[in-house]
Amino acid sequence: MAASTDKDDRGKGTPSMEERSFECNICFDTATNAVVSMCGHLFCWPCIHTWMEARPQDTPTCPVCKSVIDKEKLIPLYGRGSDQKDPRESLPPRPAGQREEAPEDNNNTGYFGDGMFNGINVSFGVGGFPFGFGLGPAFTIQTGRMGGQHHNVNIGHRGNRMHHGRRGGQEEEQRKTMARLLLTFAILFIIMIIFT
Amino acid sequence: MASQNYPPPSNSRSKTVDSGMAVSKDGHSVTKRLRQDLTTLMLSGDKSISAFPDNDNLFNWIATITGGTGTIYESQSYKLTMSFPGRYPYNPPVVKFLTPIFHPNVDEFGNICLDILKEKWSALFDVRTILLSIQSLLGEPNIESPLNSEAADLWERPEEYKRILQVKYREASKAT
Ligand SMILES: [Zn+2]
Ligand SMILES: [Zn+2]
Repeated sequence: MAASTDKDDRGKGTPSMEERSFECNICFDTATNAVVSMCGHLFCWPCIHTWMEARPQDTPTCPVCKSVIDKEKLIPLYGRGSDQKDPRESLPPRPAGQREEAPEDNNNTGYFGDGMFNGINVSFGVGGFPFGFGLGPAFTIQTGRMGGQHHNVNIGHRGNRMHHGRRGGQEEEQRKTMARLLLTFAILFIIMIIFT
Repeated sequence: MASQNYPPPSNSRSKTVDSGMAVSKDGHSVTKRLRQDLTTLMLSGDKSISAFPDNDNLFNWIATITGGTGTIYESQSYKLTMSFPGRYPYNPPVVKFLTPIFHPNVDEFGNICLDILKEKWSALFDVRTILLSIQSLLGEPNIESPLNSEAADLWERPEEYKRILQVKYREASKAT
């Protein structure tokens, strides 16, 4: 069976060097759900995940160059249109891409542009943070990735892949929620003043 | 380096899926990878190594290695068996010499002591690179951890080694 079906499977014959450079180093097929290690080697996420799980007692190393690899430090590659595919259910999602925010520009943060509300906004932003109003049950906060250069705070649903590229959007959401909260407090305050 | 006198332990997990339709949990087919290996080997055009599934069972292969040019094993050819676990390429195949061979790192049962088939295994290896590694082990044995101490002791005396090797090789080829 082997020899004849092989040719049918491959069809195109020997892949060129260029095609090969996007092959997973484990299954030798075009990488799906591609991730790249810090040492620069390309894998399918399911393949490298299985490889890391295969030797739980050892520090996981890159199959190609034996460099130490870390699940948290694998970088996902999102080609055009490739993001639609979800990793298999039995597998954890691909690790999130590590976004580094440009220094924040605080002047256009939204609804309450004047000084007073801005000040309150900041102090509330810290205190009200853990409540996560109405945005869902599973907030995770990850700080300070190893290596020291990624001290950004990621807020997102566990397993929700939306936050890969849209963290800015979620911050916006958070800010809106804070704004609504403040508005409610203000109204309550006014009602209290009126009725006392 | 561990010198193990027993065949590589087949991982308990691998036994559950050693049948013909082994598909690992991530959906990547082991058989697909093995076909890739076969294609790579056939396209490589290397005449000194060859391998093919035995009796259409993609998990058991018969391979042939011819000793490298310029080595003491030059132009001798040996048959090997390769049996692949259901978790290949995450676990290495069990590779054994079918043709008896006089070599410091191969025992009388054909078991090979080669680090890349044990603790240095990497999912990157395929049939071709395994066979090339064994081929180069023939000419460059690891004398530190021998499975055949007679061969290891003789290695330093090439003339004598060659004489004994040729006698043993003739016997082995006659038997198979
Ligand atoms: Zn792969
Ligand atoms: Zn690497």
